[in-house]
Amino acid sequence: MPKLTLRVNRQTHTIDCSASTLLVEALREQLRLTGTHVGCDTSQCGACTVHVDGASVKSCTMLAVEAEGAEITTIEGLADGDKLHPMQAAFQEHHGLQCGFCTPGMVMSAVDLCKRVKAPSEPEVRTWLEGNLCRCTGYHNIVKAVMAGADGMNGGKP
Amino acid sequence: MDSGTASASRRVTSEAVGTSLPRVDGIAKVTGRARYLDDLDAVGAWHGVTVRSTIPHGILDGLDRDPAFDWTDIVVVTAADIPGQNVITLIELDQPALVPVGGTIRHVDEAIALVAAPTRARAFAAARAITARVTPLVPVLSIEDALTGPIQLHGADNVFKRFAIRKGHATDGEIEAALAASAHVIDSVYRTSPQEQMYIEPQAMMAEWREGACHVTGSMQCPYYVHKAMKPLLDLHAEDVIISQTVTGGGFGGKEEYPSMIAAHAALLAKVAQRPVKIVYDRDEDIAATTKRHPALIRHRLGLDALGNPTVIDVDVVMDGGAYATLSAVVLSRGVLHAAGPYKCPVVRIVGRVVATNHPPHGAFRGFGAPQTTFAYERQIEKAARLMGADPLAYRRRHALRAGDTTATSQVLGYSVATDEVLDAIEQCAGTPPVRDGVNASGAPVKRGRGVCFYFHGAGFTGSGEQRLAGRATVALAAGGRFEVRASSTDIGQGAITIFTQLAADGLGVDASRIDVIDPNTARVPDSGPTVASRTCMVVGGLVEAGAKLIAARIRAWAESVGRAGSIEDLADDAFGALGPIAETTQYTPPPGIAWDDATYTGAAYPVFGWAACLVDVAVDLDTYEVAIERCVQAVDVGKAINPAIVKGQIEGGTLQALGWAVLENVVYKNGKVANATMTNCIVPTFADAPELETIIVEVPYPFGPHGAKGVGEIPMDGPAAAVANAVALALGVEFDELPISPEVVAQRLGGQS
Amino acid sequence: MKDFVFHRPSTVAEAVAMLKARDDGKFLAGGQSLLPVLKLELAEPTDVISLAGVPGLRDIRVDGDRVIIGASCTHDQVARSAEVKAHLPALAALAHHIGDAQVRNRGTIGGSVAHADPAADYPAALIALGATIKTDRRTIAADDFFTGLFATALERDELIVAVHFPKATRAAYAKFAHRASKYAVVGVMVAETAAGVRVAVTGAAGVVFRVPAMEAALSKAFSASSLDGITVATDDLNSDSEASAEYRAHLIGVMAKRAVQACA
Repeated sequence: MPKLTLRVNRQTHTIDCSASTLLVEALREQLRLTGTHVGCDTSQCGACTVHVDGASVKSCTMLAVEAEGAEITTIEGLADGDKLHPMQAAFQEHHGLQCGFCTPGMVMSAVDLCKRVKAPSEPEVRTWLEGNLCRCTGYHNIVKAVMAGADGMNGGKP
Repeated sequence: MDSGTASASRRVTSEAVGTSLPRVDGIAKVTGRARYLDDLDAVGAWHGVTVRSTIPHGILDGLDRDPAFDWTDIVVVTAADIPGQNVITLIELDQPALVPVGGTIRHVDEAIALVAAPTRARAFAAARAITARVTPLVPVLSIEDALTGPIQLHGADNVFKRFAIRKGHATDGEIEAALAASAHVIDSVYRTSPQEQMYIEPQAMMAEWREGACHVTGSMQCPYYVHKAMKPLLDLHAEDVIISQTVTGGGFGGKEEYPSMIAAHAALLAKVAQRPVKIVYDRDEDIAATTKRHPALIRHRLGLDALGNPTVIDVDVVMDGGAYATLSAVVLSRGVLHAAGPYKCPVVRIVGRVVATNHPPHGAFRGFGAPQTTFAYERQIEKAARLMGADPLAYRRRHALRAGDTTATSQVLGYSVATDEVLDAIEQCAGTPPVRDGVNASGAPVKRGRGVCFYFHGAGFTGSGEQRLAGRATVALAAGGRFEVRASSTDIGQGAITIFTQLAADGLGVDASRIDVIDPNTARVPDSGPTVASRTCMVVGGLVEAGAKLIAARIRAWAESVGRAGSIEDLADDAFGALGPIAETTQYTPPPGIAWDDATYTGAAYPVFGWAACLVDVAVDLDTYEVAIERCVQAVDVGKAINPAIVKGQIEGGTLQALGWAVLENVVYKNGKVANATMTNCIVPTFADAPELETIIVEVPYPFGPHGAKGVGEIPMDGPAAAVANAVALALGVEFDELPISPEVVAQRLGGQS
Repeated sequence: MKDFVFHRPSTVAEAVAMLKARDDGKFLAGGQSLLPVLKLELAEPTDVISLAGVPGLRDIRVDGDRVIIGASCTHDQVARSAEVKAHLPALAALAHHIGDAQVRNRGTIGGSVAHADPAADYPAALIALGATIKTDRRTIAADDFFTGLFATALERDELIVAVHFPKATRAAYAKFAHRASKYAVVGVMVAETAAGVRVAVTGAAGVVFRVPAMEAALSKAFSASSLDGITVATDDLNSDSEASAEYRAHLIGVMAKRAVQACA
């Protein structure tokens, strides 16, 4: 089985990995980073969203081999030790989650948006996150959480 | 429970109840540390895959393995491997875990064999290498076919269950006479669509046998349902079946009864493989093979006198139960019990039937029969209001039930009736209705309309159901000044862990951070009843509160006996040293005055109802025929919001599911098979489909709920679809009595395909 | 997914040679079309040749009256490009609405065009603007490029390196998107270039097509009302769980008018 070197959450890993292994499979099964979830088979739900060189990507629609040489960030890599990333803190504070299964992907997508747009409007948040499905919340609190998270990322309190 | 930093340890003592405490399980979820079933380490576990029928009805003559396939590391299980009874115990004992060779296949995607292998890829390959030899039989694929066609699937008439409710009359002849005597009769037929729960975490379960005992863990709402089903199937005593719930990514009813099936499969494979086996469904398998909301066909006749007062309500409800009875009887029950709506009417007849077809069995989904019949009655009331030239809200107000009035089952409403409160709330925030003709934000021509509805939802199990369940919960003193809550209620996103934490903290008089709600495991928690029916806070929460108070009392009694003073928090650690891990288990006792007659279906159907009103503004794009929801307001009475943010979250989530059901969701069957079984074609609302949701929490306390709380989980699902249809009717001048109100349906009705 | 050998060529020539040497290989650009195909096992290539390491395919430049977009430019790149926004804003807007944010971060114009999904957005733009597809060996006019359902004029081992778009006097794209996938149930681009007015429809049939009657009407008078009464035959339109052929025919009229209005 070919060897693959991946940079994930600022650490380097070398794993045995077939070419057809999806990035989400490599992350979950070999690196045991199970915060990235699989919710569908057709690239719809976005629960598998991670960052590849800072951009949000559905890791179910990327081969692990494609990610060699890139900086990958998963949900586990957002917090600074015990200190939550402002977006994570905002989701918790503003009840932007219920069952939590879509949450890691949702947070990763939101962080990418808020790095590109410092103070996104509600419509911008809703449009950007169309690739992330939630069945529990009705999206209402997620929008509030993302707006607060944007604030937090800009140095304000979430 | 990993509580991380920050908010979870905020100091909130006896104000815990009524505050929007951030979720106790939230930090684990936002950091990705929460472990759903497929995240568990599962060392040495093999993967299980289900072999399924491709025909809706037939005899399974045999199962053949491809001799060219390498079977060496594959375990195959068939019905012959079942040690006990081949049945998934629920209500009727009609559904097998696996169709036996020689037995009858009753739906597409019914399980006929199981395989396990060291990898998922091998397991899928092995499943493909098994083929079924079948003799097809003619299937029954519609309600009409079940009622009038020649094929008998069940009993003499294909009816799994029927109910009849009569109020103010004794014979059918009297109903026809009452209708004939009415000044007006509104007579319509309504059809509601099946709906997929689409929890984002697919069904997942793992089983392992250790020393003759079967351990099953996974995504589920009701550990004790699974426990009950495993015993006769595996021929085990209660103590040799241990069921535990993992962090569960949504349920909405879809993980109420179905987990018993997937648990059975995992357990059987694990037994034969002699190693742990985990089964995680692919999304398309989950959509195709598991339960959906019952589609319904409802004929509703509403008689009015000359002044517009309802004089007679006659409802005929037929639901498609699918191939096996599962929970159909209970879904139908709730459906018929709500079918006359929260309105005064002296004469009511409700007849309900749920029929057998060769569709995959339909099952529990938030609302559980009430959304279907609510759609019908709120469309009828709307038509009545319009016929009488009355304002829709004013008409509802005039004829609504209030405390002291009698329901369709002749229940005199007593406690916590919030009719005026919810109607007031909607009226106060309504504002000017939208102008009919206009353009939308993109400049497209639209017709706008406002729709309202008023509805109710019985909290808890019907009649004496809660008494029969005899749910129990335990609160215990633990080391380190901590307290444990032990209940079989599962957090499936609705916040059970957090609510119980708040209630226990309040009952004990300690900080929320002192409470551990332990993971539901049948070896460690009592049977609190299932996590369904909007009962978790009202019933089980009440038990938790009571148990907490009892523990607090015992600690105080001990303190007094040794001359100690101080708060429970100060005393707890020493109390543990002196008393040990004392525990109080409380059992549900029904409030007084609940008298229900199952034989006549009369009396107090529910101990209390929740009440709600909904306002929806729609804009129908006159070019594309899309129905856009521009505004949606729900005023929902929950008795008391233990955690307002969580209550709001339940209302928002349920509301969007209802709006989706109204305009864009559907499950389409072709020859008995789900034709749209991926997330691409079985669509659910995205951010783009979700309007700003306005929620007004109304609190009219229920004296027998903890702090006055009733239920909230299901009620928001019941109303909005009718409000949408009412709004569209006003906008377009066209009645839509079927769901979904999709663009093509609107296009066809307006006769406008260019 | 069946396993395959993964290759990382570092030049166009190397990539083409790799594919030529293998009976059953596929180029991989952003993977947003190919990977779903592989996951559904609709194709089982023995070799996958990644274009990620091939330089020179990611540039966007303006050359006189053309906007030249490298084949490996992502949809996000095209959507945000200052050059595209300045010289072909309709194309930037189209790219901005492809799929969702995650798809746009990976999916490329070359990959999308080569895959020729009948519901993709780019084919409408290529046809309406009269683009030319530059490959490793020749130039193909858009009109000759899309030959059928998921079929193009590309030779088996031919690689797209850039798409050349003429600038337009006015152009706009209007899409009735599928709610889940954001593919076009019906997408219409209307464009006026030096070559005249074109109306291109994607999503509605097995391959992108023009509507000559609409083009003629708009050439006479470029306004939405010029399209009144012009209907498209339903015979060749898709009928599926998304939409019936009749509804699609109706939407073509609606989206064409919206595109014309957006050209203002």
